[in-house]
Amino acid sequence: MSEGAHTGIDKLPTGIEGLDLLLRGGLPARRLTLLLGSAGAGKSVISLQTLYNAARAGTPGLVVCFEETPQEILENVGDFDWDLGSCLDRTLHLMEAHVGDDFFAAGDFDISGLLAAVASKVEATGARWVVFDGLDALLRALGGHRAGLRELLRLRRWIAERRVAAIVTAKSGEPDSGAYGSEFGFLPFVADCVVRLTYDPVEDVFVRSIRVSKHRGGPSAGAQVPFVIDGRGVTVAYREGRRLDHQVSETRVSTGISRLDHLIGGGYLRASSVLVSGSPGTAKTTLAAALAHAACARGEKALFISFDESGAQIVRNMRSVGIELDGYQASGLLRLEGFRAHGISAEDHLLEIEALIQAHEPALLLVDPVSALAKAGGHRLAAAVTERLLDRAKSLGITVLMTSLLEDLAPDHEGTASHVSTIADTWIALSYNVHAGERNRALTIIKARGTEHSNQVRELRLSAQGPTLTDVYTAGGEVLMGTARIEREVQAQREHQRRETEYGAQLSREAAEIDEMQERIKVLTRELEARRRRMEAVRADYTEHERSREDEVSRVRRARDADPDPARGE
Amino acid sequence: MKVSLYVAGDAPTSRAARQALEALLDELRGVCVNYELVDVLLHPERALKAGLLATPTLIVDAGGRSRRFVGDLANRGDFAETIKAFCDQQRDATQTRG
Repeated sequence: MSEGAHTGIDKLPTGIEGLDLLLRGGLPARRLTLLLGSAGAGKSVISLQTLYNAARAGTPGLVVCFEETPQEILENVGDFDWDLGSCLDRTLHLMEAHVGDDFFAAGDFDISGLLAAVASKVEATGARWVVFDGLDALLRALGGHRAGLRELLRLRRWIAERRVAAIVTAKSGEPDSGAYGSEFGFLPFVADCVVRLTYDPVEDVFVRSIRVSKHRGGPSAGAQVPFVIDGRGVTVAYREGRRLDHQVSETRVSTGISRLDHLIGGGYLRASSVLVSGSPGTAKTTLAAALAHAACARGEKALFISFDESGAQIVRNMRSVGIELDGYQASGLLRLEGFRAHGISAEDHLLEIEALIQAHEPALLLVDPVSALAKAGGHRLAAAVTERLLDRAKSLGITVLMTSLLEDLAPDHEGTASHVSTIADTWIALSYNVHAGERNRALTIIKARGTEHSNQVRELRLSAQGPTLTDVYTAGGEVLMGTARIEREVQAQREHQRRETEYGAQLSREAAEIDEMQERIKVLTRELEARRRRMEAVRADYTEHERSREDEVSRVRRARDADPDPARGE
Repeated sequence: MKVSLYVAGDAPTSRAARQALEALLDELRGVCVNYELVDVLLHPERALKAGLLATPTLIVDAGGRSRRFVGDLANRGDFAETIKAFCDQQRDATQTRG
């Protein structure tokens, strides 16, 4: 039990995922809650689930059945994985108040007899919850509008006195026809809390939704929120403020493509969810199949749900790209299930998938494409169902890979219609890169929670040896793939060779010049030597000449015996 | 034949039903009728046992066949006819045996 934080009105939790959040804690304790909805909308299930949850937690509850017998009501919820036996007649009690065939109206009456009976049962069982299931059947038997209102006010007074939380369920007519308004239109005015359920066709399937239209003394979200009924009962797809407390794993599982493993830190995290989005033909299924193949190769079980193709088609198509699945299918490791997307509600798909999970107990779940669920009742429901499925898988430690079709082929349009991309732990976008009349597959890791990952676009290539990734060629700010990549690579190679030749030529030219110059230096050096030698010879000649001239002068003077000439320093 | 009238204390409808039923029983002078008045406010377990939805409720039980009349019995026709018819059948059966 939790106290209403804003108002001081005590709340009793319903224990139904999402609904307590929508109701900001639960339904008002000691007050009357009206659960309105068309036939089959899930009124009985929600009220019974609330009491079952309370009963398991030790809070007793009582269901007063007006329209169906207790046996019928138990049969209605018999398919859920509830352990009713553990609390039935201990903390969960059913009481028949069936308006039978032997009922003759003989004038004016009131429901004090019934209330006295219920009161004694409440006292005997200690019930804190009382459900009046199908009260409209009784009101109808009462006849007039005035009698109905009077008795409902009596019921409300009784609830306040007994201090029990009461849920009254009643059928409502079509929301727009006003049919209900004319019959028991007073019902919502008498109730403290009004919850409306609808079960309406959306895009050719029926979709359930819930709305809190009145919540006296407390805030309510007021939004129309889809809900699903599956093997565990009702889940309301209301997420705000929801606590996530799944066990996290650090183990990596191979993607089946070694280069992709390398890109995302060794593989996908076990028990995480992977979204592979892309236009038709971008090899989403191939990526899923590669992962399935890798899981089976490790001896793990995989469950492959296909909405587009039959299992046989997938096996055949994957063989052409080097992924052999038939062996694993035969050995029972791989289970391939082809579903038809149209005409069945996403909710029913969820039920089927959950049943398959239970039967096959896979370590890996593949849903191809999860966007097919949106065909079955609109995006909001699909998102709710997907979230539920992921939640379920995570709690069981199952790794999930979903593919999602992108209707929009614009290259920068990476957002999927459903909000799956925000829930998924890893998001890989596949796209086509169109260049020079050619389409090539590109792979981008948009996000990978808890993983260092490359921000580079890679080319995804399929061959008989299996899928692989190739680095893309970037040139001048352009990402090139396929033939363009090859062409550009060849072109660059040629350019390189041309340059190499050019350099070679230039080098040898320069070398030759240097050689020539060195030759010239040698010649000049030789010339220089010769000149030097000639200069030495001249100098020697000159010295000889000077000396012989002086000798001649001395000889002549001696011969003339002349006196020394003072002018000449003699 | 057992005739049980379930009332909720002294509520106006309960009082009216009681008056209407007892007037009829007076006419029949108690012949072949075992009459019981149950106040569900005092004995809610009886209401529970009878699977009671509303008060006042008259339950006419004649050897396996039973009828329920819910309301203040303002319209005397139906319940009086039934009780008289059951009475007649019972008397016929007794006389045949006798």
